Amino acid sequence: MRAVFLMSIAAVVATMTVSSTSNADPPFAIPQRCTGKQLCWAPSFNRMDIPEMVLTGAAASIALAANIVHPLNTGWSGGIFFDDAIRSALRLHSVDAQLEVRSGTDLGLAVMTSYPFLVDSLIVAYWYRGSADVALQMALIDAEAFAITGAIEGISNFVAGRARPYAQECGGGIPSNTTDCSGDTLNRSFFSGHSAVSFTAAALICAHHEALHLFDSAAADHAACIAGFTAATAIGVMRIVGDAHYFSDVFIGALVGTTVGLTIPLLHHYNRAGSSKSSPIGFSVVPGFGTATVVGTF
Amino acid sequence: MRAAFLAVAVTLAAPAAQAAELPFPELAPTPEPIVEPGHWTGEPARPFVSLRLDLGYLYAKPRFSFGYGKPFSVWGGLDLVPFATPDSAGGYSGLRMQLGWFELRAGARFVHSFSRQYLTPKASYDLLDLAENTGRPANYVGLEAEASAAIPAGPGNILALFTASSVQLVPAGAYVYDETLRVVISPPPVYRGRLGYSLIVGKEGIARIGLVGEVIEIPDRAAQVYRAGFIGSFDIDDHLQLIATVLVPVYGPDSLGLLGADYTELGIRYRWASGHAHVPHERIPEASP
Repeated sequence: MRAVFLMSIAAVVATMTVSSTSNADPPFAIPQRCTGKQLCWAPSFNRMDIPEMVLTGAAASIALAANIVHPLNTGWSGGIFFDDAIRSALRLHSVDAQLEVRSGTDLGLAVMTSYPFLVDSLIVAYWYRGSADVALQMALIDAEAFAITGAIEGISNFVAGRARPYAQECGGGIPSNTTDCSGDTLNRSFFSGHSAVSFTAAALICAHHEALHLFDSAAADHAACIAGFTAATAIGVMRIVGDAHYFSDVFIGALVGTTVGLTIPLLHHYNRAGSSKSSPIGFSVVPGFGTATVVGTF
Repeated sequence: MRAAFLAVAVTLAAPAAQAAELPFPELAPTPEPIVEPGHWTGEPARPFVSLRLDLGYLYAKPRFSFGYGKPFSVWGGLDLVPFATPDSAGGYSGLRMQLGWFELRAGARFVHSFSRQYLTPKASYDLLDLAENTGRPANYVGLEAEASAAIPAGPGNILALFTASSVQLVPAGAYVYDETLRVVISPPPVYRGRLGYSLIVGKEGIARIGLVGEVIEIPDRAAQVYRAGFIGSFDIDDHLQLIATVLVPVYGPDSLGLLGADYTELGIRYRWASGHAHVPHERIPEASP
Protein backbone atom coordinates (compact mmCIF):
# COMPACT_ATOMS: atom_id res chain seq x y z
CA MET A 1 0.00 0.00 0.00
CA ARG A 2 2.80 2.38 0.91
CA ALA A 3 4.59 1.63 -2.32
CA VAL A 4 1.41 2.22 -4.28
CA PHE A 5 0.95 5.58 -2.58
CA LEU A 6 4.52 6.67 -3.10
CA MET A 7 4.56 5.54 -6.70
CA SER A 8 1.32 7.42 -7.22
CA ILE A 9 3.01 10.61 -6.06
CA ALA A 10 5.87 9.91 -8.42
CA ALA A 11 3.46 9.35 -11.28
CA VAL A 12 1.62 12.59 -10.58
CA VAL A 13 4.78 14.62 -10.52
CA ALA A 14 6.40 12.91 -13.46
CA THR A 15 3.51 12.75 -15.85
CA MET A 16 1.46 15.75 -14.70
CA THR A 17 -1.67 13.68 -14.65
CA VAL A 18 -4.46 14.13 -12.22
CA SER A 19 -5.53 11.56 -9.71
CA SER A 20 -7.96 12.12 -6.95
CA THR A 21 -9.72 10.31 -4.20
CA SER A 22 -12.61 10.87 -1.86
CA ASN A 23 -12.67 10.97 1.88
CA ALA A 24 -15.63 8.64 2.03
CA ASP A 25 -14.24 5.70 0.16
CA PRO A 26 -10.62 6.25 -0.77
CA PRO A 27 -9.06 3.92 -3.34
CA PHE A 28 -5.87 4.27 -1.35
CA ALA A 29 -5.26 5.90 1.99
CA ILE A 30 -2.66 8.59 2.37
CA PRO A 31 -0.58 7.57 5.36
CA GLN A 32 0.01 9.99 8.16
CA ARG A 33 3.25 11.77 8.69
CA CYS A 34 6.14 9.74 10.04
CA THR A 35 4.27 6.46 9.72
CA GLY A 36 6.90 4.93 7.49
CA LYS A 37 9.90 3.17 8.90
CA GLN A 38 12.41 5.77 9.90
CA LEU A 39 15.52 6.04 7.80
CA CYS A 40 18.89 6.36 9.44
CA TRP A 41 22.11 7.78 8.08
CA ALA A 42 24.38 4.80 8.63
CA PRO A 43 27.61 5.53 10.54
CA SER A 44 29.68 4.39 7.59
CA PHE A 45 27.97 6.80 5.18
CA ASN A 46 29.88 9.99 4.46
CA ARG A 47 28.06 13.16 5.43
CA MET A 48 28.30 16.37 3.49
CA ASP A 49 30.99 18.39 5.18
CA ILE A 50 32.17 21.98 4.96
CA PRO A 51 34.75 21.44 2.16
CA GLU A 52 32.11 19.72 0.07
CA MET A 53 29.68 22.56 0.65
CA VAL A 54 32.38 24.98 -0.43
CA LEU A 55 32.97 22.81 -3.48
CA THR A 56 29.23 22.87 -4.20
CA GLY A 57 29.14 26.66 -3.94
CA ALA A 58 32.21 27.02 -6.14
CA ALA A 59 30.77 24.66 -8.74
CA ALA A 60 27.46 26.54 -8.74
CA SER A 61 29.35 29.82 -9.16
CA ILE A 62 31.31 28.41 -12.08
CA ALA A 63 28.10 27.16 -13.67
CA LEU A 64 26.52 30.60 -13.29
CA ALA A 65 29.56 32.47 -14.56
CA ALA A 66 29.96 30.16 -17.53
CA ASN A 67 26.40 30.94 -18.55
CA ILE A 68 27.07 34.68 -18.41
CA VAL A 69 30.36 34.97 -20.30
CA HIS A 70 30.50 34.67 -24.07
CA PRO A 71 31.59 31.25 -25.30
CA LEU A 72 34.93 31.13 -27.11
CA ASN A 73 34.80 31.68 -30.83
CA THR A 74 36.16 28.32 -31.89
CA GLY A 75 34.32 28.15 -35.17
CA TRP A 76 33.19 24.63 -34.40
CA SER A 77 30.01 23.89 -36.30
CA GLY A 78 28.41 20.90 -37.93
CA GLY A 79 28.05 17.31 -36.88
CA ILE A 80 30.55 14.58 -36.13
CA PHE A 81 30.24 10.82 -36.58
CA PHE A 82 26.51 10.02 -36.86
CA ASP A 83 25.30 13.47 -35.87
CA ASP A 84 24.05 14.60 -39.26
CA ALA A 85 22.32 11.32 -40.06
CA ILE A 86 20.54 11.26 -36.69
CA ARG A 87 19.63 14.93 -37.01
CA SER A 88 18.10 14.32 -40.42
CA ALA A 89 16.12 11.38 -39.10
CA LEU A 90 14.81 12.96 -35.90
CA ARG A 91 14.52 16.72 -36.15
CA LEU A 92 11.25 18.43 -36.85
CA HIS A 93 11.30 20.64 -39.92
CA SER A 94 8.87 23.27 -38.69
CA VAL A 95 10.80 25.87 -36.72
CA ASP A 96 7.79 26.65 -34.55
CA ALA A 97 7.33 22.98 -33.76
CA GLN A 98 11.01 22.81 -32.84
CA LEU A 99 10.57 25.71 -30.45
CA GLU A 100 7.53 24.06 -28.87
CA VAL A 101 9.45 20.85 -28.35
CA ARG A 102 12.30 22.81 -26.79
CA SER A 103 9.97 24.57 -24.38
CA GLY A 104 8.54 21.14 -23.54
CA THR A 105 12.02 19.98 -22.60
CA ASP A 106 12.28 23.00 -20.31
CA LEU A 107 9.24 21.77 -18.40
CA GLY A 108 10.66 18.25 -18.39
CA LEU A 109 13.90 19.60 -17.00
CA ALA A 110 12.00 21.48 -14.28
CA VAL A 111 10.26 18.27 -13.24
CA MET A 112 13.45 16.21 -13.34
CA THR A 113 15.45 18.64 -11.24
CA SER A 114 12.60 19.12 -8.76
CA TYR A 115 11.82 15.44 -8.22
CA PRO A 116 14.88 14.43 -6.16
CA PHE A 117 14.36 17.39 -3.82
CA LEU A 118 10.58 17.53 -3.60
CA VAL A 119 9.53 13.92 -3.78
CA ASP A 120 12.45 11.79 -2.62
CA SER A 121 13.90 14.10 -0.02
CA LEU A 122 10.95 16.14 1.26
CA ILE A 123 7.92 13.90 0.87
CA VAL A 124 9.41 10.44 1.24
CA ALA A 125 12.39 10.86 3.55
CA TYR A 126 11.31 13.87 5.60
CA TRP A 127 7.53 13.72 5.69
CA TYR A 128 6.66 10.05 5.33
CA ARG A 129 9.63 8.39 6.97
CA GLY A 130 10.21 11.16 9.48
CA SER A 131 13.93 11.39 8.85
CA ALA A 132 14.99 15.00 8.72
CA ASP A 133 18.67 14.18 8.88
CA VAL A 134 18.57 11.77 5.95
CA ALA A 135 16.38 14.16 3.96
CA LEU A 136 18.88 16.98 4.50
CA GLN A 137 21.83 14.83 3.49
CA MET A 138 19.98 13.71 0.37
CA ALA A 139 19.15 17.29 -0.60
CA LEU A 140 22.75 18.40 -0.06
CA ILE A 141 24.06 15.51 -2.14
CA ASP A 142 21.57 16.42 -4.87
CA ALA A 143 22.72 20.05 -4.79
CA GLU A 144 26.35 18.96 -4.96
CA ALA A 145 25.78 16.71 -7.96
CA PHE A 146 23.69 19.28 -9.85
CA ALA A 147 26.27 22.00 -9.19
CA ILE A 148 29.18 19.87 -10.38
CA THR A 149 27.29 18.82 -13.50
CA GLY A 150 26.42 22.45 -14.15
CA ALA A 151 30.04 23.53 -13.75
CA ILE A 152 31.34 20.86 -16.11
CA GLU A 153 28.65 21.69 -18.64
CA GLY A 154 29.29 25.42 -18.34
CA ILE A 155 33.02 25.05 -18.85
CA SER A 156 32.44 22.72 -21.79
CA ASN A 157 30.00 25.16 -23.39
CA PHE A 158 32.47 28.00 -22.92
CA VAL A 159 35.52 26.17 -24.24
CA ALA A 160 33.90 24.24 -27.08
CA GLY A 161 31.90 27.16 -28.51
CA ARG A 162 30.10 24.75 -30.77
CA ALA A 163 27.28 26.12 -32.91
CA ARG A 164 23.90 24.54 -32.42
CA PRO A 165 22.48 22.53 -35.29
CA TYR A 166 19.77 25.12 -36.00
CA ALA A 167 22.55 27.64 -36.73
CA GLN A 168 22.44 26.30 -40.28
CA GLU A 169 18.93 27.75 -40.56
CA CYS A 170 19.72 31.21 -39.15
CA GLY A 171 19.04 33.83 -41.79
CA GLY A 172 16.95 31.28 -43.64
CA GLY A 173 14.10 29.51 -41.89
CA ILE A 174 14.92 31.35 -38.67
CA PRO A 175 15.24 35.15 -38.76
CA SER A 176 18.78 36.14 -37.91
CA ASN A 177 17.55 38.73 -35.41
CA THR A 178 16.05 36.16 -33.07
CA THR A 179 17.65 35.69 -29.67
CA ASP A 180 18.42 32.10 -30.63
CA CYS A 181 20.48 33.23 -33.64
CA SER A 182 21.97 36.45 -32.35
CA GLY A 183 22.68 35.62 -28.74
CA ASP A 184 25.30 33.58 -26.92
CA THR A 185 23.00 30.61 -26.76
CA LEU A 186 23.79 29.92 -30.42
CA ASN A 187 27.26 28.62 -29.61
CA ARG A 188 26.45 26.56 -26.52
CA SER A 189 25.73 23.27 -28.20
CA PHE A 190 28.41 21.07 -26.65
CA PHE A 191 27.31 19.47 -24.51
CA SER A 192 23.61 19.36 -23.77
CA GLY A 193 22.83 20.84 -20.38
CA HIS A 194 19.24 19.54 -20.44
CA SER A 195 20.56 16.03 -20.99
CA ALA A 196 23.35 16.30 -18.44
CA VAL A 197 21.10 17.66 -15.68
CA SER A 198 18.26 15.25 -16.46
CA PHE A 199 20.60 12.26 -16.35
CA THR A 200 22.14 13.58 -13.16
CA ALA A 201 18.65 13.67 -11.66
CA ALA A 202 17.88 10.16 -12.90
CA ALA A 203 21.14 8.84 -11.49
CA LEU A 204 20.50 10.55 -8.15
CA ILE A 205 17.04 8.99 -7.98
CA CYS A 206 18.60 5.58 -8.65
CA ALA A 207 21.37 6.08 -6.14
CA HIS A 208 19.13 7.21 -3.30
CA HIS A 209 16.53 4.52 -3.90
CA GLU A 210 19.07 1.74 -4.21
CA ALA A 211 21.08 2.79 -1.19
CA LEU A 212 18.26 3.80 1.15
CA HIS A 213 15.30 1.75 -0.15
CA LEU A 214 13.20 4.90 0.02
CA PHE A 215 9.96 3.25 -1.08
CA ASP A 216 10.63 0.24 1.16
CA SER A 217 9.82 -1.96 -1.80
CA ALA A 218 12.46 -3.31 -4.16
CA ALA A 219 10.08 -3.26 -7.12
CA ALA A 220 8.98 0.32 -6.46
CA ASP A 221 12.57 1.49 -5.93
CA HIS A 222 13.70 -0.15 -9.17
CA ALA A 223 10.69 1.34 -10.97
CA ALA A 224 11.63 4.84 -9.78
CA CYS A 225 15.13 4.31 -11.11
CA ILE A 226 13.97 3.07 -14.49
CA ALA A 227 11.34 5.81 -14.78
CA GLY A 228 14.00 8.44 -14.09
CA PHE A 229 16.31 7.21 -16.82
CA THR A 230 13.41 6.80 -19.23
CA ALA A 231 12.33 10.41 -18.66
CA ALA A 232 15.92 11.65 -19.01
CA THR A 233 16.33 9.72 -22.26
CA ALA A 234 13.11 11.23 -23.59
CA ILE A 235 14.36 14.72 -22.78
CA GLY A 236 17.67 14.02 -24.52
CA VAL A 237 15.95 12.72 -27.64
CA MET A 238 13.60 15.73 -27.67
CA ARG A 239 16.62 18.05 -27.67
CA ILE A 240 17.61 16.46 -30.99
CA VAL A 241 14.02 16.53 -32.27
CA GLY A 242 13.89 20.25 -31.40
CA ASP A 243 17.17 20.79 -33.29
CA ALA A 244 18.79 22.27 -30.20
CA HIS A 245 21.59 19.69 -30.07
CA TYR A 246 23.41 17.08 -32.07
CA PHE A 247 23.42 13.46 -30.93
CA SER A 248 27.02 13.81 -29.73
CA ASP A 249 25.97 16.73 -27.48
CA VAL A 250 23.20 14.66 -25.94
CA PHE A 251 25.30 11.51 -25.62
CA ILE A 252 28.17 13.25 -23.85
CA GLY A 253 25.73 15.18 -21.68
CA ALA A 254 24.02 11.96 -20.67
CA LEU A 255 27.35 10.31 -19.98
CA VAL A 256 28.59 13.17 -17.82
CA GLY A 257 25.28 13.51 -16.00
CA THR A 258 25.02 9.80 -15.27
CA THR A 259 28.61 9.61 -14.10
CA VAL A 260 28.30 12.58 -11.74
CA GLY A 261 24.87 11.52 -10.49
CA LEU A 262 26.02 8.03 -9.64
CA THR A 263 29.58 8.47 -8.50
CA ILE A 264 29.00 11.25 -5.99
CA PRO A 265 26.36 9.44 -3.94
CA LEU A 266 27.34 5.84 -4.52
CA LEU A 267 31.12 5.94 -4.52
CA HIS A 268 31.44 8.66 -1.95
CA HIS A 269 28.47 9.22 0.34
CA TYR A 270 26.91 5.76 0.35
CA ASN A 271 30.20 3.95 0.09
CA ARG A 272 29.55 1.66 3.02
CA ALA A 273 31.66 -1.10 1.53
CA GLY A 274 34.48 1.38 1.03
CA SER A 275 34.62 2.14 4.71
CA SER A 276 35.37 -1.52 5.38
CA LYS A 277 38.10 -1.42 2.74
CA SER A 278 36.29 -3.88 0.49
CA SER A 279 35.53 -1.39 -2.29
CA PRO A 280 38.14 -1.06 -5.02
CA ILE A 281 37.03 2.46 -5.94
CA GLY A 282 36.51 5.56 -3.92
CA PHE A 283 37.11 9.27 -3.87
CA SER A 284 37.23 12.03 -1.38
CA VAL A 285 37.36 15.79 -1.34
CA VAL A 286 40.54 17.20 0.17
CA PRO A 287 40.43 20.83 1.28
CA GLY A 288 43.44 22.92 0.43
CA PHE A 289 44.42 26.56 0.75
CA GLY A 290 41.54 28.18 -1.06
CA THR A 291 40.97 25.10 -3.12
CA ALA A 292 39.29 21.74 -2.93
CA THR A 293 40.80 18.72 -4.66
CA VAL A 294 38.95 15.56 -5.60
CA VAL A 295 41.16 12.56 -4.95
CA GLY A 296 40.26 9.16 -6.34
CA THR A 297 41.56 5.77 -5.26
CA PHE A 298 41.51 2.74 -7.54
CA MET B 1 21.47 4.08 -25.69
CA ARG B 2 19.04 3.80 -22.82
CA ALA B 3 20.03 0.21 -22.30
CA ALA B 4 23.66 1.26 -22.16
CA PHE B 5 22.91 3.84 -19.50
CA LEU B 6 20.85 1.42 -17.49
CA ALA B 7 23.66 -1.09 -17.69
CA VAL B 8 26.08 1.53 -16.42
CA ALA B 9 23.65 2.51 -13.69
CA VAL B 10 23.12 -1.05 -12.54
CA THR B 11 26.85 -1.76 -12.62
CA LEU B 12 27.71 1.32 -10.59
CA ALA B 13 24.77 0.82 -8.27
CA ALA B 14 25.81 -2.72 -7.46
CA PRO B 15 28.31 -1.90 -4.70
CA ALA B 16 25.77 0.26 -2.90
CA ALA B 17 23.00 -2.25 -3.38
CA GLN B 18 25.29 -4.89 -1.97
CA ALA B 19 26.17 -2.59 0.89
CA ALA B 20 22.49 -1.99 1.50
CA GLU B 21 22.13 -5.67 2.31
CA LEU B 22 24.03 -4.99 5.50
CA PRO B 23 21.90 -4.68 8.63
CA PHE B 24 20.19 -1.32 8.51
CA PRO B 25 19.21 0.39 11.73
CA GLU B 26 15.55 1.32 11.36
CA LEU B 27 13.26 2.56 14.07
CA ALA B 28 9.60 1.82 14.52
CA PRO B 29 7.26 4.79 14.36
CA THR B 30 5.70 6.03 17.56
CA PRO B 31 1.96 6.71 17.68
CA GLU B 32 1.99 10.27 18.95
CA PRO B 33 -0.71 12.77 18.07
CA ILE B 34 -0.06 14.77 14.97
CA VAL B 35 -0.41 18.50 14.73
CA GLU B 36 -2.85 19.77 12.16
CA PRO B 37 -0.95 21.53 9.39
CA GLY B 38 -3.55 24.30 9.26
CA HIS B 39 -2.63 25.55 12.70
CA TRP B 40 -1.70 28.99 11.38
CA THR B 41 -5.39 29.70 11.98
CA GLY B 42 -4.97 29.19 15.72
CA GLU B 43 -2.40 31.93 16.24
CA PRO B 44 -3.12 35.12 18.15
CA ALA B 45 -3.62 38.33 16.20
CA ARG B 46 -0.61 40.63 16.37
CA PRO B 47 1.57 42.96 14.31
CA PHE B 48 3.93 40.74 12.35
CA VAL B 49 6.50 40.40 9.61
CA SER B 50 6.20 37.31 7.46
CA LEU B 51 7.97 35.63 4.60
CA ARG B 52 6.50 33.36 1.99
CA LEU B 53 9.32 32.05 -0.19
CA ASP B 54 8.48 30.19 -3.40
CA LEU B 55 11.39 28.32 -4.90
CA GLY B 56 11.43 26.14 -7.97
CA TYR B 57 13.21 25.43 -11.22
CA LEU B 58 14.01 28.12 -12.02
CA TYR B 59 12.49 30.95 -10.03
CA ALA B 60 12.69 32.62 -6.65
CA LYS B 61 9.73 34.65 -5.36
CA PRO B 62 10.03 35.81 -1.77
CA ARG B 63 6.97 37.63 -0.47
CA PHE B 64 7.63 39.85 2.53
CA SER B 65 4.50 40.95 4.34
CA PHE B 66 4.07 43.53 7.06
CA GLY B 67 0.67 43.43 8.69
CA TYR B 68 -1.65 42.85 11.59
CA GLY B 69 -3.63 39.71 12.34
CA LYS B 70 -2.95 35.98 12.08
CA PRO B 71 -0.26 35.47 9.44
CA PHE B 72 -1.39 33.44 6.42
CA SER B 73 -4.87 33.24 7.86
CA VAL B 74 -6.74 36.42 8.84
CA TRP B 75 -4.74 39.57 8.34
CA GLY B 76 -4.23 42.77 6.43
CA GLY B 77 -1.09 44.58 5.44
CA LEU B 78 1.57 45.35 2.87
CA ASP B 79 3.31 42.94 0.47
CA LEU B 80 6.78 43.36 -1.04
CA VAL B 81 7.65 40.74 -3.66
CA PRO B 82 10.94 40.88 -5.55
CA PHE B 83 11.24 38.08 -8.10
CA ALA B 84 13.77 36.65 -10.52
CA THR B 85 13.57 34.03 -13.23
CA PRO B 86 15.86 33.34 -16.20
CA ASP B 87 13.42 35.33 -18.35
CA SER B 88 12.60 38.33 -16.21
CA ALA B 89 13.11 40.14 -12.95
CA GLY B 90 11.19 42.78 -11.08
CA GLY B 91 9.06 43.37 -8.07
CA TYR B 92 5.53 43.73 -6.80
CA SER B 93 4.21 45.83 -3.96
CA GLY B 94 0.66 46.22 -2.75
CA LEU B 95 -1.95 45.84 -0.08
CA ARG B 96 -3.47 42.50 0.89
CA MET B 97 -6.34 41.42 3.05
CA GLN B 98 -6.99 37.78 3.88
CA LEU B 99 -10.12 36.62 5.68
CA GLY B 100 -9.80 32.86 5.95
CA TRP B 101 -10.75 31.48 2.57
CA PHE B 102 -11.24 34.90 0.95
CA GLU B 103 -8.34 37.07 -0.17
CA LEU B 104 -8.09 40.48 -1.78
CA ARG B 105 -5.03 42.29 -3.05
CA ALA B 106 -4.15 45.35 -5.11
CA GLY B 107 -0.77 46.69 -6.12
CA ALA B 108 1.77 47.44 -8.81
CA ARG B 109 4.24 45.12 -10.49
CA PHE B 110 7.36 46.20 -12.37
CA VAL B 111 8.73 43.73 -14.89
CA HIS B 112 11.98 43.84 -16.84
CA SER B 113 12.22 41.11 -19.42
CA PHE B 114 15.67 39.78 -20.25
CA SER B 115 14.81 38.19 -23.55
CA ARG B 116 11.35 39.32 -24.63
CA GLN B 117 10.84 42.51 -26.66
CA TYR B 118 7.94 44.82 -27.33
CA LEU B 119 5.91 43.30 -30.12
CA THR B 120 4.57 44.71 -33.35
CA PRO B 121 0.78 44.34 -33.33
CA LYS B 122 -0.59 41.42 -35.31
CA ALA B 123 -3.49 39.00 -35.07
CA SER B 124 -1.56 35.98 -33.91
CA TYR B 125 1.84 35.21 -32.46
CA ASP B 126 4.02 32.15 -32.37
CA LEU B 127 7.23 31.29 -30.54
CA LEU B 128 9.36 32.71 -33.33
CA ASP B 129 7.71 36.09 -32.86
CA LEU B 130 8.57 36.07 -29.17
CA ALA B 131 12.17 35.13 -29.95
CA GLU B 132 12.75 38.10 -32.25
CA ASN B 133 15.20 40.69 -31.02
CA THR B 134 13.92 44.10 -32.07
CA GLY B 135 16.24 46.06 -29.82
CA ARG B 136 13.33 47.09 -27.60
CA PRO B 137 13.46 44.93 -24.45
CA ALA B 138 10.13 44.89 -22.66
CA ASN B 139 9.77 46.90 -19.46
CA TYR B 140 6.37 47.62 -18.04
CA VAL B 141 4.33 48.22 -14.92
CA GLY B 142 1.17 46.31 -14.23
CA LEU B 143 -1.46 47.76 -11.89
CA GLU B 144 -3.27 44.75 -10.51
CA ALA B 145 -6.30 43.97 -8.37
CA GLU B 146 -7.22 40.41 -7.51
CA ALA B 147 -9.88 38.62 -5.49
CA SER B 148 -9.56 34.93 -4.76
CA ALA B 149 -11.51 32.43 -2.72
CA ALA B 150 -11.39 28.80 -1.71
CA ILE B 151 -14.97 28.27 -0.57
CA PRO B 152 -15.50 25.11 1.51
CA ALA B 153 -17.92 22.81 -0.26
CA GLY B 154 -18.28 19.08 0.25
CA PRO B 155 -15.01 17.20 0.52
CA GLY B 156 -13.04 20.13 -0.88
CA ASN B 157 -13.12 23.75 -1.93
CA ILE B 158 -14.59 25.70 -4.80
CA LEU B 159 -11.76 27.80 -6.18
CA ALA B 160 -12.47 31.19 -7.69
CA LEU B 161 -10.14 33.95 -8.78
CA PHE B 162 -10.60 37.20 -10.64
CA THR B 163 -7.75 39.48 -11.69
CA ALA B 164 -7.94 42.86 -13.36
CA SER B 165 -4.72 44.42 -14.67
CA SER B 166 -3.80 47.64 -16.37
CA VAL B 167 -0.42 47.38 -18.08
CA GLN B 168 1.39 50.70 -18.27
CA LEU B 169 4.60 52.18 -19.75
CA VAL B 170 4.39 50.15 -22.96
CA PRO B 171 5.13 52.34 -26.02
CA ALA B 172 2.04 53.37 -27.93
CA GLY B 173 1.18 50.95 -30.68
CA ALA B 174 3.14 48.06 -29.20
CA TYR B 175 2.03 44.79 -27.67
CA VAL B 176 3.85 42.99 -24.88
CA TYR B 177 4.16 39.44 -23.57
CA ASP B 178 2.96 39.54 -19.97
CA GLU B 179 5.38 37.45 -17.93
CA THR B 180 2.81 36.96 -15.16
CA LEU B 181 -0.27 36.00 -17.14
CA ARG B 182 1.87 34.50 -19.91
CA VAL B 183 -0.17 35.92 -22.77
CA VAL B 184 0.45 38.58 -25.40
CA ILE B 185 -1.57 41.63 -24.51
CA SER B 186 -2.49 44.90 -26.06
CA PRO B 187 -2.16 47.33 -23.16
CA PRO B 188 -3.51 48.46 -20.97
CA PRO B 189 -6.45 46.25 -19.87
CA VAL B 190 -6.39 42.51 -19.31
CA TYR B 191 -8.67 40.38 -17.13
CA ARG B 192 -8.48 36.84 -15.81
CA GLY B 193 -11.19 34.65 -14.33
CA ARG B 194 -10.48 31.21 -12.90
CA LEU B 195 -12.85 28.60 -11.51
CA GLY B 196 -12.20 25.13 -10.20
CA TYR B 197 -12.62 22.61 -7.46
CA SER B 198 -9.97 21.07 -5.26
CA LEU B 199 -10.35 17.94 -3.24
CA ILE B 200 -8.89 17.78 0.24
CA VAL B 201 -7.16 14.47 0.69
CA GLY B 202 -5.90 12.65 3.74
CA LYS B 203 -7.02 12.51 7.34
CA GLU B 204 -4.99 15.59 8.16
CA GLY B 205 -6.14 17.41 5.07
CA ILE B 206 -2.54 17.70 4.02
CA ALA B 207 -3.01 17.34 0.30
CA ARG B 208 -5.18 19.24 -2.09
CA ILE B 209 -5.56 18.48 -5.75
CA GLY B 210 -7.99 20.03 -8.13
CA LEU B 211 -9.01 20.87 -11.64
CA VAL B 212 -9.27 24.46 -12.78
CA GLY B 213 -10.14 26.35 -15.90
CA GLU B 214 -9.53 29.98 -16.69
CA VAL B 215 -10.21 32.56 -19.31
CA ILE B 216 -8.05 35.59 -20.00
CA GLU B 217 -9.80 38.46 -21.70
CA ILE B 218 -7.65 40.85 -23.73
CA PRO B 219 -10.16 43.54 -24.80
CA ASP B 220 -7.89 45.59 -27.03
CA ARG B 221 -6.93 42.49 -29.01
CA ALA B 222 -10.53 41.32 -29.03
CA ALA B 223 -9.16 37.99 -27.93
CA GLN B 224 -9.65 35.39 -25.23
CA VAL B 225 -7.25 32.73 -24.09
CA TYR B 226 -8.70 29.63 -22.42
CA ARG B 227 -6.55 27.42 -20.23
CA ALA B 228 -7.22 24.32 -18.20
CA GLY B 229 -5.16 22.21 -15.86
CA PHE B 230 -4.66 21.18 -12.30
CA ILE B 231 -3.40 22.63 -9.10
CA GLY B 232 -2.10 20.75 -6.12
CA SER B 233 -0.40 21.27 -2.82
CA PHE B 234 1.03 19.06 -0.12
CA ASP B 235 1.77 20.26 3.41
CA ILE B 236 5.06 18.93 4.69
CA ASP B 237 4.80 20.78 8.00
CA ASP B 238 3.74 24.20 9.25
CA HIS B 239 6.54 25.85 7.28
CA LEU B 240 7.00 23.75 4.18
CA GLN B 241 4.54 23.10 1.41
CA LEU B 242 4.88 21.62 -2.04
CA ILE B 243 2.90 23.49 -4.67
CA ALA B 244 2.10 22.78 -8.29
CA THR B 245 0.05 24.71 -10.81
CA VAL B 246 -0.05 23.58 -14.40
CA LEU B 247 -2.49 25.26 -16.77
CA VAL B 248 -2.08 24.70 -20.48
CA PRO B 249 -3.74 26.76 -23.21
CA VAL B 250 -6.62 25.01 -24.90
CA TYR B 251 -7.88 27.81 -27.10
CA GLY B 252 -6.60 31.23 -28.10
CA PRO B 253 -5.26 33.32 -30.94
CA ASP B 254 -1.60 32.51 -30.34
CA SER B 255 0.58 29.41 -30.62
CA LEU B 256 3.04 29.90 -27.79
CA GLY B 257 3.41 26.30 -26.68
CA LEU B 258 4.39 26.12 -23.03
CA LEU B 259 5.23 29.83 -23.03
CA GLY B 260 1.48 30.25 -23.10
CA ALA B 261 1.02 27.85 -20.20
CA ASP B 262 1.09 28.69 -16.54
CA TYR B 263 3.43 26.34 -14.77
CA THR B 264 5.18 29.06 -12.82
CA GLU B 265 4.41 27.36 -9.53
CA LEU B 266 6.16 24.02 -9.41
CA GLY B 267 8.29 23.83 -6.34
CA ILE B 268 8.44 24.43 -2.66
CA ARG B 269 6.84 27.09 -0.50
CA TYR B 270 8.35 28.11 2.83
CA ARG B 271 6.32 30.16 5.30
CA TRP B 272 7.63 32.02 8.30
CA ALA B 273 6.18 34.73 10.52
CA SER B 274 7.44 36.62 13.53
CA GLY B 275 5.93 35.37 16.77
CA HIS B 276 5.13 31.99 15.26
CA ALA B 277 5.76 29.05 17.54
CA HIS B 278 7.20 26.38 15.28
CA VAL B 279 5.77 22.93 15.78
CA PRO B 280 8.62 20.50 15.24
CA HIS B 281 7.94 18.02 12.50
CA GLU B 282 10.05 15.37 14.11
CA ARG B 283 8.18 13.10 16.47
CA ILE B 284 10.80 10.43 16.36
CA PRO B 285 14.25 11.10 17.76
CA GLU B 286 17.01 10.54 15.21
CA ALA B 287 18.94 7.38 15.76
CA SER B 288 22.37 8.11 17.04
CA PRO B 289 25.20 6.59 15.01
